[in-house]
Amino acid sequence: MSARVNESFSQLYTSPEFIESIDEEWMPWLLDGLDLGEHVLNLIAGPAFSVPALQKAATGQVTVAQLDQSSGDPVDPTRLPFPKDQFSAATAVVALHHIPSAELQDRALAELARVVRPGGIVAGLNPIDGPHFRRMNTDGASVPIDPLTFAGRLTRAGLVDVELTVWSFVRFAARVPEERP
Amino acid sequence: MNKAHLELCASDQWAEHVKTDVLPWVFEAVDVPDDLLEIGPGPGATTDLLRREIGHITAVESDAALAAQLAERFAADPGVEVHHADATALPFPDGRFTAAASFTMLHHVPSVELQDRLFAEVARVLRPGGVLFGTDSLDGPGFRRLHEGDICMPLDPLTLDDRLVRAGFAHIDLAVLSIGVRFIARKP
Repeated sequence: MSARVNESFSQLYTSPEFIESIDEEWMPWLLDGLDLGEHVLNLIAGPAFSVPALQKAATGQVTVAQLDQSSGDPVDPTRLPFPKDQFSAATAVVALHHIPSAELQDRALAELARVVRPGGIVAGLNPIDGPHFRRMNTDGASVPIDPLTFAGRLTRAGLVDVELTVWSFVRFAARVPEERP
Repeated sequence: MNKAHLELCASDQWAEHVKTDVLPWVFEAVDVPDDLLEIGPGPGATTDLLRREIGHITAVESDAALAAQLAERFAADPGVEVHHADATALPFPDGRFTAAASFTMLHHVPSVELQDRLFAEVARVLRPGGVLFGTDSLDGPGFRRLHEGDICMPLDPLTLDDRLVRAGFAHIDLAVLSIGVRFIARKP
């Protein structure tokens, strides 16, 4: 499967205001206190707005995996083309809601947990449903993530030490357990 | 409140947001009451809109100037009673109300402890089966800029359930949209 990022979301993600707030406010907030290690997988959907800030903050290599089907060679987030334990961390910044169902999102989270090595971090930002989101999601291709149930979904994906903060974006950070079940 | 913030809360744009986004979201989940205690109406954008649907509103505002303005504005309307009072010590007997509400105000209550005291005080003045409902804004960089130099203690949606239970409520129903957290809680 792949994600479809419509024109409204693409326009938002390429607007100077959005990029500035991601760079200046949201990425520093997301990354504060996280040790991403030497090789981060960054899952993106559409425009690569999260990549510069991540490259700036990351101490190691950043591999970008594109979900959007209109962008050349998308990856299937439910079958990531990487071996187990390949990365020291994975991020999904304003990306998971483009995976078109909660079930597929959960499979993608489990995949992130698989490709990150034990002890590594899986983190990201989710937008919140609301009037603005609904105005952009005209084709219904995007499925917003309820912050009130998301901690349980991260746990069920096999992650531990789940941190969740609900601001006007939701920040999540969790860890692959040292010993996989 | 700082000046820019007070202007926003008194603006047509804010009234439109309350009318279009906030109140419909709340009243899709809770019945419109006949008699309502409104906590912290501020400039009264919500009070105006609620009054169209609700026969009697008792508005409690802790800011003296805002309370006086609101009392003057509704002076000719027997359906709105304005009290200048602190919602952590309400001037009403136990069980006076069947419904209480607060809209995008609780982040102005300066500490979690005082917010909890407010919840407990609302529970006291509700009769059994009575309902507390409303919304608060979500935290974030833009929200903090708007409150620069002001109190800014938005409710954490992830801890609100426990806090309402500790204040004496049950059947807590929470929802989060970008426009805020919505809470509905009943006094057992």
